[in-house]
Amino acid sequence: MKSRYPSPAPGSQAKPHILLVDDEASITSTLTTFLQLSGFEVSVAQNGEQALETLEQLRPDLIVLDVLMPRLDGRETLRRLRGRGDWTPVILLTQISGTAERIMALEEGADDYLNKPFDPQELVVRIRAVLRRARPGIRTLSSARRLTSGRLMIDRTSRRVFVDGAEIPLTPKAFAILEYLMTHPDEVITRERLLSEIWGWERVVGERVVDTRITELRKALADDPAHPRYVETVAGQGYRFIGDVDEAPT
Amino acid sequence: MISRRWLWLLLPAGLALAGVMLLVRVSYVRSILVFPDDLDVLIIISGLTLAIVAALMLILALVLDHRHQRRLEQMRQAALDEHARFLRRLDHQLKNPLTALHAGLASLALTLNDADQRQTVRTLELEAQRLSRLIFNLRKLADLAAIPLDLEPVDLAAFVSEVVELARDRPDFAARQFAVELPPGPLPPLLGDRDLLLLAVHNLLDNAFKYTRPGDRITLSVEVVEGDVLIRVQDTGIGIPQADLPLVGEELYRGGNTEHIPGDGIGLAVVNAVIAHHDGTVSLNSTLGQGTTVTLRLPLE
Repeated sequence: MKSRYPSPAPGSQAKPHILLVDDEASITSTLTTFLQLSGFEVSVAQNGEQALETLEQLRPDLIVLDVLMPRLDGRETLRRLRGRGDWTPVILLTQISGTAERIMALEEGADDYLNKPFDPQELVVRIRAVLRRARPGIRTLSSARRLTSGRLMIDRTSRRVFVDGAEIPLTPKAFAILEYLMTHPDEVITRERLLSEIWGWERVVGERVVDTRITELRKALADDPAHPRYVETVAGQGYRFIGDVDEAPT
Repeated sequence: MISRRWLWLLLPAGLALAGVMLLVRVSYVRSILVFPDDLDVLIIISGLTLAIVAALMLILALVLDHRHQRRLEQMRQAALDEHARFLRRLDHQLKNPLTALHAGLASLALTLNDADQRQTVRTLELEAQRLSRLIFNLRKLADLAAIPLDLEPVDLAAFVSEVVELARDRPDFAARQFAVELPPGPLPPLLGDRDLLLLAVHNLLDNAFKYTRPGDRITLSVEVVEGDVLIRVQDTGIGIPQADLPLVGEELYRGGNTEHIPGDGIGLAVVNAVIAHHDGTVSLNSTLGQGTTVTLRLPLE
């Protein structure tokens, strides 16, 4: 059984410092308490302007950024941040459930996103995962146009997949799964999360549809589920991309 | 306004009258029958006039009818758009308070030591989750009509076996007499969004299992009629009260005889939205206490 109490990030002495940016006082106050209880140090900014101003002195390890704010919204804040070469990891709190908007959020340089309202435990899981794969000062995988892992290469703009330079046909859903797994390498992604991220429906059709597409993906990539190079099944939990993922030159 | 049927009769009647009189005029009949001078010409002209007037009125009626239909369609569309906008606003306004609620309850759960209090917080967390899911589903439903379909040729036989597989996972599967009826020979592929159609038929079967009792029959059948695919789910369950029939397809509405059966009133509304998006129709027949039949009609092309 999963522990109810989130354990502090393994291996780190100092508590990770989170900058929480949201204009809703009720959210910042409750989330601050929860994140502190979960082992983080938390600072708060009420809007994008304030966040950009205080960033220099605060130097947080990660920013949790709301999209809809009156003074400098989250998207614009993110654009300015990345525009000045700051690659502090960002998790966007999005309002819109449309897939197109989510892809846009990632292209603008967010490391991950979470739809409001969310389970706060899930936010902690995401923060830990992003911190784990963050490479200080280097742009994030989730904003890369092309990703490689071994002989595999995906082009996210044209939505095409190549193995050893030869294109592999994939359905849009299977591509979206591969893309999601590759931008979250070494992270166990539950079927439920894939359903809500890619299909947009949670727990409605059942998780079989995810398995069907994973089977398609493995067949296309000639990935043996018993000895996977790319997608591993984590029994009772979900799937994990186990290859090393790097940004490929465009 | 003159009834349409009369106009349809008047048109051939006028033409026939004129025709007969024309025949009378050019044939020898005239020498046998005694006609006052030019009366036949008069009859021909009035017959033709009658036919022309009827034709004009028919055209007018059709045009007015068409306009009326279009206005109705526009009004229906406007109402749907307004409804979708309302759901989006509602969804938007509830997101922040719900986020705060989740965070506050999660913090409380981590700090409370008293077991009773923790149980209370756990209950509140579950309720907040339920509220979030409801809002999420309503929002999704509003978006469903607007999202682009992921069209592909759907192999109906494989589709049906996947739906059945899903049903087999249910704990109450063995307690029903479940049957599948497929026509002999291969079924043509159906162009559609496979996952959304799966969701729709899954929801129908879900309802069939929910609103039947142990021993009841549930039949899933597929047939092709006049270029349309008919997917039918028929059960011998508790049925839907006559007064609820037009309303059960609306979101959050539940039949009067379902109080003891858990449900959120979303399932059939999803079916309606998915099938309408595929230019298909949903028809619902039910007799209280005897069972329900839902038929999805989807165009093959």
